[in-house]
Amino acid sequence: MRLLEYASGRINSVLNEIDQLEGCEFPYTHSSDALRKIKSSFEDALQYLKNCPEDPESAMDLCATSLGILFRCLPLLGFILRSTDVRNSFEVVRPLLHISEKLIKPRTETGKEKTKLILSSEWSYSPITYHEIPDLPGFVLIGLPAPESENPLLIPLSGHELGHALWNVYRLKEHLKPKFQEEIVNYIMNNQEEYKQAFPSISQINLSTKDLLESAGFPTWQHASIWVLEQAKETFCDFIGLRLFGTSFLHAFAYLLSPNVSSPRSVKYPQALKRVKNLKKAAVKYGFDIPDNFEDMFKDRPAPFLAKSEKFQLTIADNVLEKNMDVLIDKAQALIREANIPKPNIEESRRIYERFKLIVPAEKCKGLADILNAAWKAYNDPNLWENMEKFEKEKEKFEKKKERILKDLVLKTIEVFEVEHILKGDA
Amino acid sequence: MVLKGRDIAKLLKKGEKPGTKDPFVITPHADVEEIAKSGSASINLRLGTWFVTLERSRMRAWEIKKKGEPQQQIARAEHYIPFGNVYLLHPRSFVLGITLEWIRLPSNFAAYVIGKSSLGRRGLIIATATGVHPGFKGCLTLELSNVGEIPVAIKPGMEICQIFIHKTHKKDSKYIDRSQFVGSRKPRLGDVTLDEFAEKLTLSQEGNP
Repeated sequence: MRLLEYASGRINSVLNEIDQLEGCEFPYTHSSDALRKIKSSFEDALQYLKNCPEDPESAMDLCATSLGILFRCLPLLGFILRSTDVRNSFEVVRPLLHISEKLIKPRTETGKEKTKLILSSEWSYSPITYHEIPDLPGFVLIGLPAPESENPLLIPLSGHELGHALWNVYRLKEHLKPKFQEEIVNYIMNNQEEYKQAFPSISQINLSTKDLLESAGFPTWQHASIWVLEQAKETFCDFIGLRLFGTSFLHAFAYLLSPNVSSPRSVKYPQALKRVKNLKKAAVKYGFDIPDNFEDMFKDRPAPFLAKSEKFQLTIADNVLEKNMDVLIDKAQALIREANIPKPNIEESRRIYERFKLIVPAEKCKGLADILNAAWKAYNDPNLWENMEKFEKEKEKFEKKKERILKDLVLKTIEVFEVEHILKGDA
Repeated sequence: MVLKGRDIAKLLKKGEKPGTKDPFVITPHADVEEIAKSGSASINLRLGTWFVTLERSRMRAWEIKKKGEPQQQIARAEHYIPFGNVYLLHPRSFVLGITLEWIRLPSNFAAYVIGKSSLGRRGLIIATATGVHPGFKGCLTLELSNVGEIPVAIKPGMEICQIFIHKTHKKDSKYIDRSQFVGSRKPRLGDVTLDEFAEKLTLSQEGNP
């Protein structure tokens, strides 16, 4: 049967590719563990195809199901391959893993899977994570944009990606969904005129909560429900990044995302300025400084191309999210407190910054966040190492050198932090 | 004057104090009390996690360029070996390593890096550019080669070399090391160019028999 031969051929090609990848130099075993797990999923798929029944319909179904792994796992193989790239900030892997373990372990341990972390890069200009991968239970995958993968100043953004893992592990979508749906229906009940304009076909019907909740009404706010949950997830992830890394998260956020008007607003995120305002609100609540002119660096994206009914649903999603902002801010705070992760400390980051001024890694640091906050303070200090500047003929050359030295200094400080951690017996 | 363990420990302690303007720092370092008690005139440095190997390529040869000319890109591979793993250095092979320690020398101190005899006797040589100038800041690149007959498994974190610290005559912060190697955590090849002296000699004879 050709169908089976083709399907087996495609899976065998991937297995050959994985054999090649196994020869890569993996700095950390978590990448090779992931590769082995994916290989075993492909081998299982091949085995299913070998045992395929002869009737064509069953064969068709089996091929379709077995080949699903191709689309699910191929991007992961690329991600794992790039985790071996020496431009990655490998020194950060263990400290980030400790944070991930503290945050996620309480839940994954019950599933008998240890938390594993793969730090890699992606050829798109956005940090990325892959979530809910059935083939890799317990794995957290964090990727920075390839040109920035060696830049420790952007590590705070990994906090946002960690947030995605938390969102899934703690099943926050399932917890929030009933509350959000109730609020969506309430919104519609309070704005019936707008609703009827958005859905003229049902303008004659007398609206009731019951109608809206039943199958006839549900399609009219289905998108609002999906979008508010997506927006809540991204907002929660922002708050996790912020609560973990303090002001350095805001700097990294601005560095990578300001101003981005290249494409219309995504319905899965709040509008850019709203997102920034949400972060500012959370920063005040958590007690973190907000960088000067933070909000001025952003601009709203163009509105997305939506039908009238969809526009109305996006308005609902935005409103329901706004009503639940404090819930999300508090949830992020509570999860990090439960995990016993120390809050970034201004005094501590000042102490580290003083060492950076001397071009010396800091010792006895209390957390990764303090190092990254000090790093941003140094990065934004126009007078940093001005004595060195006097001896450089070209300003541009000096700036380039300064940036390289600072990045190396930060990564060395993170390594010293890890060495001290190991020597204390904490690792 | 070469410093002994007690002097080195004193300097390290002073360097840890906040507000010290031109501190001597070696980090991470062993217990300062241990260094003070050792009675040795050097302090051991450890192997770091980054390595660089040069690779065979289509490049005909590596040539020294004149000042201002673009440097040739030499094919090379970087390797990160985390703690707990080993790097195998085969007989007659060469790799650039780096010290785990980041060093900061004050402007009135210089240093020499020397291999450890126990490793040298097994064929592991830490070679060549051993002088560290006043004001240096960063990790030290090590040129490691195995001149023995058996492969040597080296581990990040192991003691790999020793540094002797010398006090210079005069403190002058104007003239300190501002080399291209300052502030690096990875082994670096650096740029090599002909200096003015060598350039004059080369130019004057170009095309002559």
